[in-house]
Amino acid sequence: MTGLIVRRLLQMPIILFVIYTITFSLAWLIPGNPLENPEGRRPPQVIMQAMLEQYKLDNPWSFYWDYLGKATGVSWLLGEHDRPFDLGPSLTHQDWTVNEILAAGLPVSITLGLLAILLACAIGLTAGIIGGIRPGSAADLATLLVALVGISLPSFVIGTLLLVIFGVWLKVFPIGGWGKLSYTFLPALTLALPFAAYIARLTRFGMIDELATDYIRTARAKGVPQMRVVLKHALKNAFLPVLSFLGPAAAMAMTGSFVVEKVFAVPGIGTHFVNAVLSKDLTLIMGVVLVYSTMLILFNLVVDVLYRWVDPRIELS
Amino acid sequence: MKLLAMFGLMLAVLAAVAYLDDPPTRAELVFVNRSEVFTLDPQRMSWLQDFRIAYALYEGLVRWDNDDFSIEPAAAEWTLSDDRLSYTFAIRPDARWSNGDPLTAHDFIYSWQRAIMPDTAADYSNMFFVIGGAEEFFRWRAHALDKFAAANAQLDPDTRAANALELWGETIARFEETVALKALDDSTLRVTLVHPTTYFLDLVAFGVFHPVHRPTVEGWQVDEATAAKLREFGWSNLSPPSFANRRFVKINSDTGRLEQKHGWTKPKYLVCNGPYVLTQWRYKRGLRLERNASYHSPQRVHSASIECISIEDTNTAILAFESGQIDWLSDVSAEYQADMLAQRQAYEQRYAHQIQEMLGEGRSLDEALAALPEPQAGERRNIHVFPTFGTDFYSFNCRPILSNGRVNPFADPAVRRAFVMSVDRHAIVQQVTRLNEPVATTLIPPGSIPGYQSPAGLEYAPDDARAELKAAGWEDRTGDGLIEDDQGRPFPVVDLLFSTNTPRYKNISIVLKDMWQRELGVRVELRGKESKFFKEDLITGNFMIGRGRWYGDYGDPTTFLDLFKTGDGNNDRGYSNDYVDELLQRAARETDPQRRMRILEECERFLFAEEVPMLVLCQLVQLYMYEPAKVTGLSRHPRLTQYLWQMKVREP
Repeated sequence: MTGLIVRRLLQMPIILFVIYTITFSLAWLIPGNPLENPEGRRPPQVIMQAMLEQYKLDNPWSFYWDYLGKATGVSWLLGEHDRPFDLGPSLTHQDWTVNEILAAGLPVSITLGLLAILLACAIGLTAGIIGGIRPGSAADLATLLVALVGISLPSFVIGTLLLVIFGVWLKVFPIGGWGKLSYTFLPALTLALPFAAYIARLTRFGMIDELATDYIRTARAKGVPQMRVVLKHALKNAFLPVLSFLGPAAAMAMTGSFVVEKVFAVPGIGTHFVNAVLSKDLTLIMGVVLVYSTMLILFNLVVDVLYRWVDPRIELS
Repeated sequence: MKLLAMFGLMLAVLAAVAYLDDPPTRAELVFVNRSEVFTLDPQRMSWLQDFRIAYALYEGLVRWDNDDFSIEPAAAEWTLSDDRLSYTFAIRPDARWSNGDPLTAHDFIYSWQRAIMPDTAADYSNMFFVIGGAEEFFRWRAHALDKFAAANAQLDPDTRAANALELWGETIARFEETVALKALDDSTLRVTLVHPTTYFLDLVAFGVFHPVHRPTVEGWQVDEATAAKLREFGWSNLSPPSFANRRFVKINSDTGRLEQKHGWTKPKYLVCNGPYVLTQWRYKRGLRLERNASYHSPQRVHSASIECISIEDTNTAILAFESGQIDWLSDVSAEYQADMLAQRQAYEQRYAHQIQEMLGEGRSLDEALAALPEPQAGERRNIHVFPTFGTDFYSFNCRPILSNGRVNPFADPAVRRAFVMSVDRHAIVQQVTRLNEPVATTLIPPGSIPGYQSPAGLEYAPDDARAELKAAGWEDRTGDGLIEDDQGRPFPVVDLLFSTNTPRYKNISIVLKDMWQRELGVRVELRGKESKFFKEDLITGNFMIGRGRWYGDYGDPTTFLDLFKTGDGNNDRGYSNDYVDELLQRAARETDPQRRMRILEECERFLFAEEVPMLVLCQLVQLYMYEPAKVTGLSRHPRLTQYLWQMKVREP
């Protein structure tokens, strides 16, 4: 186990370096100039040249190394820069540094993502168990229908519907923004629904398989109550496929959904991914990608370790 | 058990990263700005949404009176010399910065110097070139920096640093010497212009001319004793701390440039002199303004607190407005906007008689609407159309040769005239955009500049259009419905370029294609591009006809007409005409305001009745949402500079 963790951590810088290089090459090829106002007047040529030089946008090579040095903290170690892990100023919103933007947006995206996954588990497991106990029953069909809707309806439709129903008509939740717990519920639910649908399906099939096995029959023969059979014995094994789905699902939920963040005006990271690319905000693109890659690598590691802890039969190489 | 433990762990992580703030108390005025604010540094601004906040945070020497287009004193009274060349501003003795420091003439000189320096990268630096010596100084500095970089590349770092500092000292001395800005005393500023400029005060009222607080902008780190002196006399009598003790500026020893960091615009640091101070600014979440206790005229400020929240998605913003979370939505661009306008029209039609009566009594339209009964289902009175100081158009590429090396048919003004006269603008605003924008044949929105009479441009006249083409040698000689020149070569396929970021230009372009193909017998190919690619093609001249729009900045025709100057940085059309250049020069030298306007009118007439380098479609409009019974203080001045401090929300 320790070997695994050490090995993964040692691989990390190499993976990050490759990601950095590929992302940079692609981002540099985006046409246009991030310092220019896309609509409206253009500053004099001299000024534009000065700005390009200041942000090292006049030469891809110097930008590449300069940014790498500052972001990794190497320039700081060499004494060439005043602080480590400096992801630079955003090129389109120059009053903000990428560090500030990420510090403001990451906790929001993580909170929202975790809430969504918790909601998805709660909804998905319940629906899956109900369906799995009596396959083909009315309850099973109802959960199937809900799951189908959850998977197939795009989140901007669900989100807008929820906003209209709970925000405008019932006025129980605020519309848009971020703050108290009440602001988080609708976006978390919207984000959770597709995940919940998958979890429900996975749980249902797992449940049906497990409930047909011999050990369950034995347990029932011994007179173990139904509740206990389902929740303690069957669910334990039926949950394993869900767990392997939860790893990537949690990562997906936490990297922020562009659509959900846009519909609910949630100030998370998801919108930055898209907006930074559209406006060719190089520093923001690189910063977001680097931070998220680091997070994802660490997160996958955590999930692998957890997986082994839950089911010691699993061998990780 | 282990499963439960895992959920417990997740909950714990969730709690650890939970970022749930206290519920913010609702401000007196809550609005959604046009878009995210880019900067709160007035010299570096160029977006409407930024300026809107700037006018709440900063106060210039003068300001626009939004009701009658005139200029009124703000932080200063002014006098103009007899030769119309020098303005003397007397700054109010009670004008102070939000930290209590006095506002002095030096603050303005410093701020304007920032804007003129190429180092600051101010989008509007050339607006300052009306001031004597400003342009020379700008060029001198740019040249000196070029020379510096070349001369110092081989030197060792210490020498370079010393040379950079020396150049900086020389620059400051040079500025004082060449640029005609003088502080006669701490509260008197004299500005001498290159030549009499009738719209100079209009410029001074513009946000980029607003003052910034030097110790804040440069991040001076000073001891208590110095801070006390600052509070009493301002910074001008003190020698500034060394660059090591300035948090936000440094001299780059490689380039010799002054490099500025922009962290000072955060609430923690920002010192301003306007009606409000900034108490919160969070990226993509919004900002909050509270009354500035040091402001000299508190009676002007109608709302004690203002919150500007960021909602990027227009549907969500409209829903938030409908639920009452927002008082004023300053940009509505939903696909169903035209249907909302139709609901408004239905409401106005029902009460047309009463509205006419109340307007006759001298009440404003909003007041009249507020006095009427609530709208019924299918009606609304909370959406409003505001005409802007901007125009929508399609540019013709006027270069003789296209970027692909072919001969450009649109280099011929007759061809351009034909293309303009075959477009039915009314059909476009009524059936395509469905916003019924005021159609226009000239670039400057008619009636938006006092003393300026818009000339007539080319109207819709398809028969004349065909005649023009025929006279230019293009007519259908083969009977296939397409036009050819005298050697039988068909008219080149027209390359129509537009951006795909909004459906507006796609829809208009499709209709234009149809009109031209039908009326003129040419083939048109549409080329929709994502905005970055679109812009690149526009700048490099890779188009025949390309969509465009322009908003004026100050109340003078040159804010539009300068687009047609040969070699102007925003002249996407590559247009060049000696007569236009000469008229613009003559106007610049003309000292009589009336005669000057006549020259500019002739310039626009020549441009839009004869040359038509662009097909102007209509004046742009802006849609607002607010309840007329609740929100007051919005101005219909076409520049749409809404002063937030004039706005008030009252509970009906």
